[in-house]
Amino acid sequence: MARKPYVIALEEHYYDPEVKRHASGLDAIAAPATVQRLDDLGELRLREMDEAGIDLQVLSHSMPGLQKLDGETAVPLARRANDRLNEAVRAHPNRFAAFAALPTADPKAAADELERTVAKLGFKGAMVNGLTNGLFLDDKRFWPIFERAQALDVPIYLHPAIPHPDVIEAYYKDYVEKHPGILRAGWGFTVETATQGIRLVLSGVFDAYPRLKVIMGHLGEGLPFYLWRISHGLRGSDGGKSFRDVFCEHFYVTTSGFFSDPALLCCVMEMGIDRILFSVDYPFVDNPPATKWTETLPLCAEDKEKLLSGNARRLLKLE
Amino acid sequence: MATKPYIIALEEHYFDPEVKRHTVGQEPTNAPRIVERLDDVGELRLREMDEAGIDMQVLSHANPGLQKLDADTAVSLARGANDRLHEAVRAHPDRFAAFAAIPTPEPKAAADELERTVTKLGFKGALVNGLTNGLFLDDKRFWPIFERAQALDVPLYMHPALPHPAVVEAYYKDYVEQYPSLLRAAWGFTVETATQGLRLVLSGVFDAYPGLKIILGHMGEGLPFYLWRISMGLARDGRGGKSFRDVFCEHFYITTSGFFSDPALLCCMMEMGIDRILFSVDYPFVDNPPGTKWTETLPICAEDKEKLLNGNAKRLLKI
Repeated sequence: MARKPYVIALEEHYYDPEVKRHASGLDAIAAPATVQRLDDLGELRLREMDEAGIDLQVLSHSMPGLQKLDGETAVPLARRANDRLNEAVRAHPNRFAAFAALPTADPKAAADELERTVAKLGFKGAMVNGLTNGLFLDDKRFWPIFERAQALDVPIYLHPAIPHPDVIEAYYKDYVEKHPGILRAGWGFTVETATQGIRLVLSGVFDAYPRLKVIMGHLGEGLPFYLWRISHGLRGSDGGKSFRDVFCEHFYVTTSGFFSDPALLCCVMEMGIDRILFSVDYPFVDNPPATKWTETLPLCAEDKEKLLSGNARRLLKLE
Repeated sequence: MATKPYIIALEEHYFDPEVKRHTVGQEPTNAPRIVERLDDVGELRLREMDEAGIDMQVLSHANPGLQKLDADTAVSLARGANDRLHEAVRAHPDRFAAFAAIPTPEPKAAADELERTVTKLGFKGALVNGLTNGLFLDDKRFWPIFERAQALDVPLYMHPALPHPAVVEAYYKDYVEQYPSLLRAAWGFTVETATQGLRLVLSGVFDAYPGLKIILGHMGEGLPFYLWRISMGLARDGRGGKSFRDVFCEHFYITTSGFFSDPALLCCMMEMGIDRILFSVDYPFVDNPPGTKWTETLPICAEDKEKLLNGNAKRLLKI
């Protein structure tokens, strides 16, 4: 019997008590069992990590985080929320690490808060939840964040949030009442976050910051599957590097909420195992099905170790 | 040396001269090389089929077809366009077959035209291009078309068109000028047509018409990759019954049009099985030779390759 592998999961969410108070409407909907777990950074969470064999969670604020707040509100709130998150990590430094919440409405302040949390608190990067008050993050006004992320050599994790209201109106509204999942993990999350990934490539931000690293959850929101077609569609207008080239050079993907052998193998074929990292999406997804899934993966031991811990250690510079 | 396999391609487009006159300004392309080929259903097309070893094309009108016209215009155009398409097929009955253009702005007339073209002209089904004046086809007013397709036992091919203007505005407009294909094959086509597939499943149309068959091009617009995640995301809605995966794999067929990727194909095979995957090129938007050349090196057995290249199409279209 092989020893239990060391397991790092890096799209694992919580609620800050003060940030949480600002969420309303569709942003606030979560089942009581989920909310209880989002609120917990101690006993319950650690027990459920233990039960599934997860050694380390990289914690991040659940959507929408600070992305729907104005700069004035978000900037001081970010500082307090990240300091509280740092306390939770310090209480269990061998079980938790952290991605910062950034006040993206004020890009310069967001870049400064990224630097503060990384340099002073030892955070591993930042997670951004969906659009910032309707704007995609490839908008030039946000580039100071990417510039700082490159300077600090930390990744930015692009996480979904409830989609743009005009897209809900055009594509989803007929089914929202009966199938609320269409806005979220069922489809709307995927479309908007994959679109964010494509827009980042088209924006030229990776020419400006050639060492910038971006993480996308949910097996890259499907972009690895589409690499051939997107690259083919953009051929001729891509000015040299293909979409595939840029994506495979700058993007990392995680398995959060997507425990599918065919989808994982497709990603391995397109990107290689070195850019794929295990994650659960706790507490929206339970830990045990995730770690159980990895036990039967058709991967060699070396690749499985990369997936479960090696790639995360390298990317996040974990000890 | 094995004998050349018989090859059927079924997302192969042309322009009807009269429909084209009514859709000025909405053409899918103005590239002279492609327009010349869309206008040709004779010598040039046959020569390029021969050069790539394609034995039969199932012809369909290029986007936007009849979907963006008012009901009266669409109804009056459909009959003439399909009769002219029938003439082209009759001129080369062993090289061409046809999918009807149906006047979806008038659903009852569209159902009648589907029946006329299938029973009187021997057409193999119909191809619908994107939204019908802003409406997805799962809207109940279109169900008479699905009812008739089931009664006739022919498939409906869901093809993309330019995306809904509100989604273009929210997601794509910043990059349209520099990357016009972002609206089309690179991404916008994919998102809207995959959303159409998902909405069809949620609409319950397959409960109402359990014999209904749908074809999606471009490797199912990526839906096979997402089956695990979509099924999980929608299962959270707690409605019980058939999973998204079950319905999708029972009612959908996909083609390789414009998407010649081994990893994507293998992912689709793992999720759906080879029996539901059909070869297509997307001529003349995509050239024939890369399509057939790709199939020569596919890592699949001879029996599966034959299914992909012609067996599945023969069965589905009763050729």
